Amino acid sequence: MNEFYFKTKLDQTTLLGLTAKNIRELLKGIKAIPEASIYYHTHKYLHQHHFLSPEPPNDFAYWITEVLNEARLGEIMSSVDIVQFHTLQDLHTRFIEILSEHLRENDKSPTAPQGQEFHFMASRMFVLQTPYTATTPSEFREALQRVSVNSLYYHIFDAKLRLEKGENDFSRWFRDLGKTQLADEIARLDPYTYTLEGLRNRIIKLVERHDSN
Amino acid sequence: MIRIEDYSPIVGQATIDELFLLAQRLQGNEIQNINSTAVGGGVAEILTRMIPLLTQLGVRSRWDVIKGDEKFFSITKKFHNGLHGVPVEVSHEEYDTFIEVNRLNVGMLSFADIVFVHDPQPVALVEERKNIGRRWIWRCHIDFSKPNERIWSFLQQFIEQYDTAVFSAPAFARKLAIPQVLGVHPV
Repeated sequence: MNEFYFKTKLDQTTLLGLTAKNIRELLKGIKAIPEASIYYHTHKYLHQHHFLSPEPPNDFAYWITEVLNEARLGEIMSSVDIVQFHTLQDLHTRFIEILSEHLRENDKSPTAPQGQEFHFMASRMFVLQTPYTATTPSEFREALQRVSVNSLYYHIFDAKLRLEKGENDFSRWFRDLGKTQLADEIARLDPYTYTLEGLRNRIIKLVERHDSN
Repeated sequence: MIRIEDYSPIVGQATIDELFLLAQRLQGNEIQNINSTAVGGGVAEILTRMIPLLTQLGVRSRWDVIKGDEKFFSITKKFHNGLHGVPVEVSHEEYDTFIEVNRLNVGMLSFADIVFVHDPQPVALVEERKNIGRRWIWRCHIDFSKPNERIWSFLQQFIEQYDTAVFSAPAFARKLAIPQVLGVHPV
């Protein structure tokens, strides 16, 4: 029997003790940090403000725009579309490319006021097994209504990008059940354009529709 | 007494359920919190509420308070001010007294499996780690962004004997040889 085990996760924020006060130092820092830090700075807002949609930009873009007042560069950094990336390494490389290119064309870089430096952080994930499981689409819907947004987050965002499974856990399970169309429809959702509750409701509706056919 | 379920309408039952799942991971371990005052101050306020909540989650936990005389607390007050950037002078004798009082407290305490030490006052208790092992976590509740460098370097020798240091804000992170994590802001 192909059973879906709902897991959940809790993130611990680690402080890397590394700061930047201008673009050059930001680039140096980004080159030095692990992928867990890229994940943290591109997903923090989504998790902390899961009621906002679309989510505010990544931390780098926000700091460049709001603290350094580099609107153009900030816009380029915020336009990086995370859903297009399959690995954090690729996303990491893209940020380095953008900042390197900016520095090649711009010698002068504004300095952040004291106390508004960029602080590099990272995310450490603890995965926990919930009591919820499903063997059928209707059981899946029932369980998805009950699990926390952390569980949804883990199976959708963490599975694809952080654990590099290629696609989210829900699509993979439905594909294994032979529900290819449903799997594809869930895989095609852009989760970054929903609130987490909105995403939960959307997936439940998709499953409901397929289950009633 | 406040009950963990009282938080359910505020944070949602799923969050409470996850706390129970997390608590299961701590089964078989006792958590000890150590600070310098039983009443007054943010740490005492946090622990007054946190210890009963941990117990309800099924986590064995306790709270101990170190003992010190007026001289000891006048020294730790200097530390506190110095760490906030106020110019202070701490003598060699005062540093020695600080260590001595911490060592006296080691003899009066028994240590649990996981030892959470709060703020600088009891920081040197960690010297006992070389004798008993265990997991030691230092929780800093104060602003460390512009500390007096002499006081910082004195404390650093103890902080780096812990497994982890927990700070309240990213700006308080320092270059340390141990992992640093962000704690939840007290409201």
